[in-house]
Amino acid sequence: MINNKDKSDNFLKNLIKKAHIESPSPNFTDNVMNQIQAQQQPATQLTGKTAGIKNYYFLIAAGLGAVIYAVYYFISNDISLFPGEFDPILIPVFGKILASMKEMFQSIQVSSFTVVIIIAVIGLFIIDRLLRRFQTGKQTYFSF
Amino acid sequence: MNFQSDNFYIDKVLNNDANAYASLVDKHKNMVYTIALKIVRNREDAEEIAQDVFVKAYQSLATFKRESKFSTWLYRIVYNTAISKTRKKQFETTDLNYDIVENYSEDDINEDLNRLDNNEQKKVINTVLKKLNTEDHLLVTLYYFKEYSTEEISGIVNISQSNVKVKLHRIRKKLYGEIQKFIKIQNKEIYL
Repeated sequence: MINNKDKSDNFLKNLIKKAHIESPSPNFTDNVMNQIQAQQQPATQLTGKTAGIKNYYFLIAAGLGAVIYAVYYFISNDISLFPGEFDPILIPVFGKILASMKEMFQSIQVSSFTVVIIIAVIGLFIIDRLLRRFQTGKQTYFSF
Repeated sequence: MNFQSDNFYIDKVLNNDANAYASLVDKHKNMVYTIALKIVRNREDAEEIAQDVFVKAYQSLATFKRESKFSTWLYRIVYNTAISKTRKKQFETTDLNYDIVENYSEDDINEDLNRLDNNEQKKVINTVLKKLNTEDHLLVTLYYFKEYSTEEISGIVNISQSNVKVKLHRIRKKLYGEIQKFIKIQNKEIYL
């Protein structure tokens, strides 16, 4: 059963639908989509599975690099890796490994200049990874 | 332009088809813009707010639980964004001293209006709607134009459902009063 209130409501609904509704500028949708695409770029770069795998390889490579450099540094300077009674040379297996590594590294003649270059390259690589991680919008880390 | 259901586009967007969002924007942009405009009363600000709202909604689309309609969720975002932009924390209370013309019958007014042609009816309603304050105009748009339920409106404008009903009742009386006044003035002009 339709009461007076419903009748009036229906009448007003029909009447008000004749009133014009406001519209934004013609390029409104394009502007919104451009904003969305600008913000979408870093999200897809960093949330993908490949990005995760790359980070994983990077961590392994960085860890290995650090270990190799530390071993090289200690051996080339004839410093024991562990002080005092924990010196692994006392353990035959470690002693043999250490001796073979010592031979290997001593056979390689590396100048201090080369070491600086290697450190600089590793440093740049790490900075590159960090900047990519915090990159925003469509900008690359080369654009400021 | 014919649109599919909102959920159709939402599913596409969530499956990495960002372009499907353009259809959602096209479908709702007028209403989002209208709500923003009714609150901030400035076209440039309203457009900026409407754009921000669509970007915000896109970023939060995965969190939309589909418990309400997408449009209700979207209008709530635009309402809150526009209100915070104008620093109006609360819905203003409806002015009780508005000028209601007493001793009128809504049926009589409906009959008078029905005698007018389409263009004249448009003129009447546009003139009358301009006389409503921001909040009343927004409620009228949501209830009469978009045909939202009082429950949905309550969710958008953060006031209780019973308060929405009371406000709509007062707005209806006010609308009829204004329409009657408008018609009386028109008739006077004709007979003078």
